[in-house]
Parts: sequence; structure tokens; C-alpha cells
Amino acid sequence: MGGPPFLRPPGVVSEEDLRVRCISCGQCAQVCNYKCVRLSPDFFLGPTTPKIFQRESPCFLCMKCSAICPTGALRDVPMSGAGMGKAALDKEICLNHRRERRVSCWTCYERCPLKGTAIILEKGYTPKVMEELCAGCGVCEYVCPTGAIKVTPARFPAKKSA
Amino acid sequence: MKKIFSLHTLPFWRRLIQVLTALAFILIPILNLCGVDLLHGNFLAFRAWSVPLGDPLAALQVVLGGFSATQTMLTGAGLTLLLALFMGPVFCSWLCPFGLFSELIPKRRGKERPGLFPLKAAIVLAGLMVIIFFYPGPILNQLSLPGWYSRAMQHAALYGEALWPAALLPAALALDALSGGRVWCGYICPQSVLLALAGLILPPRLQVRFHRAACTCPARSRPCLKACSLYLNPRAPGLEQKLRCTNCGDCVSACARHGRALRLDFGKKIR
Repeated sequence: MGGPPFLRPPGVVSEEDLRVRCISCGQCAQVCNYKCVRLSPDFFLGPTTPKIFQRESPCFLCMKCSAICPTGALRDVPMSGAGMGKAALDKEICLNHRRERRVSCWTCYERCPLKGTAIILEKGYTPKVMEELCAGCGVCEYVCPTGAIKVTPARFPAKKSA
Repeated sequence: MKKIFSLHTLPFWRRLIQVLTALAFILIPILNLCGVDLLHGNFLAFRAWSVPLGDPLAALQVVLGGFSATQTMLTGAGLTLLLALFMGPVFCSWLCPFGLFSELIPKRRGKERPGLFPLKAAIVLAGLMVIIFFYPGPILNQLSLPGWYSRAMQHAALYGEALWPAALLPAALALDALSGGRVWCGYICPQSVLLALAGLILPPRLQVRFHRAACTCPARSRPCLKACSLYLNPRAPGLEQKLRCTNCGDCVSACARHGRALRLDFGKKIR
């Protein structure tokens, strides 16, 4: 799929189910505290499904969108169950892992909505993403000054076995 | 002293409600941006405080596409159908913003148009078949012009840009202008089908009733026929009439200056 990378909002069902359930009512975008949910048509005259362009405005997991969705396209789940994607840290680029510039960054750790759970500090210094606990909100990718963290949207490997 | 609420002032009140509804869907996304979070959504699904309202056709498509439904969605669609059950498809004539724009297009002088409700029903049926057998997405929503109106307003308020597929709205208005008005509403709009069908269920629901003995107009002069924007003949009641009439009340208001042979009521005996 072309265009900039994007995530789906928290609590989203699989892409196949989203296609069935999303009626483009836009309530998720209207209720979002941070105005990060973007509605855009998927194709010519297609439904305007919700997207989050994490490099422009990430999701801070306020979870209002998943609570308001009338059709269950976004399920009302806790922050930890957002299931938007998984973050991956490139140790070759992360300032703290390289220890080259004698800087202490921790921006990803500090800004993570699941601070101390999804991102922890190993030995109190180097950030580590706990993949199983990561909600994939994209905040770390947005704030990382060197682009060391990238979030893989859950919609790519989305086909869950039943 | 003239009465504020009377059959003569009915068209004024209806137009006022139409305009206020159209304005509301411009204002709601702006109010949301200002932190007023009481109303959300568009004409496909709406939430006022915690009360959901929704387009029954949108809900039906989700149910058929995934064989699943949420309580919120069913409640919203149910409330809309309940309104249609007792009041007929009043949404089309009192609330729909496209209906407002379409009515502003001057009507051609004329006669009643043939009824093509089966065409609208066929569009809905074809769409539902596609959803069940080929593409399980709510594709008929893309033909919802009130939906596109409110989606375009959401888009403009949230992102400050136009939603280009909403160009379907002026395209439909152009079609109406070329044909003398109300072609989309009369022959295409799939959203009105379920509302019209719901209106058939209860015999005593709100509808225009004709009392032949009270009619004082000669056959050539029919103010009620001229008043109807949908090119219906209010003096010829029947199933087709019941399916197509949206209870706007224009014919009743026009008739009020003559013999008062038309009434908009729940089926009380006339005189």
C-alpha cells in the first residue's frame, strides 16, 4: 500500500472486519482528544475509514474513539489491549544504545503512554521495547529524535489465526 | 390574530427545521473542536449525549456483511425506524439537508410523475446482494447524500480541507436541476427505502388523507398537486402514494386555503 505509513485507532478489528463494520460515521475522529484520527477515503468514492499517521500526530491512547464507535469496528478495550501495532527499536541508531554522543535521551521511555510497561529502561539507561505489552500507538516513533523506533502496524500481519 | 402554529405556517416551520438541521451538522464538528462533546457523528450514525441514532440501512449492511451487530448500532437504527413507523419517512422532508437543497430547485410545471419506488428498492436489493456475495462493506452508504453532506462538514472542520467524493452532492443537484427536481430523492436514494417500508407497517401512522367530499377545487386547478415537490397527486391515495409521500405537509397547507380536503393526521375520521 502506497503513501505514508499509518496505524489504525486503538481497539481496531482486523482489516477485513473493519471493511465490514466501519460506516464512516466519523465519531472516532470527532471525539479524539488529540485530533490524531484522520478520516480519508480508501479509494474512489470509498469509505472514509479512520487512520492515524503516527509521524504527523500519534495516538496518546485516550481510548475515547474505541469507546464511542457504534458498530464495534473499534472495540472498547483497555490501553494495553489497543493492538495497533508493535514498536521495534534499532539499537544501531538509538543514542543511548550507541553511547557515542554522551547523551541521555530516554524520550521514548518518557513519552510512552505505557511508560514502564511497554518501554522499560534496562540498567536504568538503555530503552527496551517489550513487544508483547506494546500497544503500537506510535508516540515513540513520533518523538524519537533519531528515528530509531518504528512501529509496524498490526494491520500488516493482521490475519490472526482463529 | 394569526396563529403561529397552523396549517398555513407549516411550510415555514418545516423549512426552519430543515435549515437548522443543515446548520447543526456544520456546527457540531466545530463545537467538538472547541471541546463541546455532547453531540457526535453524521447522518450515518449519530450520538446525542448518550442516545444513539443511526441510518437503518447502514446498520442492515453491517449486519449482512458480518452477521454481527452491536447494541448501540441496533438501538440507533431502531429509534430511527420507530420514528418512521409512526410518522412515515419524515426524515426526508423535515431533516435531510439534501432534501432541503433539492426542494430549492424550482419545480417544473407539471403533472404527477410515475412512481418508481421499485427502482429504489431494486438499488437497495442489488447493493445488499453485492454485500452478501461479493464485497462485505457498507457500499450503499456511498449513495447517502445526507451522509456525504455531513461527512464533508466533518472533514472541513477537522482538517480544513474538502472531501472530494462529496462532489456527488452537487452532481445530484445538477441532475435534479436538469430534470425539474427530486430525481435523486424520488428514484435513487436508497436510504429512504427502509423508512418508507417501515411506514407501511402501522395502518394508523401519520399520513396525508384525502376527503373527496370536502374538495372544492376544479379538476384543472389543483393547488395540492402544484405544492407537492415530489410530483405526487395527494388526491390519489394508494400504496405508491404511501411509499413515496414524505409527509412534508405542503399539499395540506395549500389545501388549507381551499376546501381543507387534505389532512395530515393519524387516521382520525374526517368530518
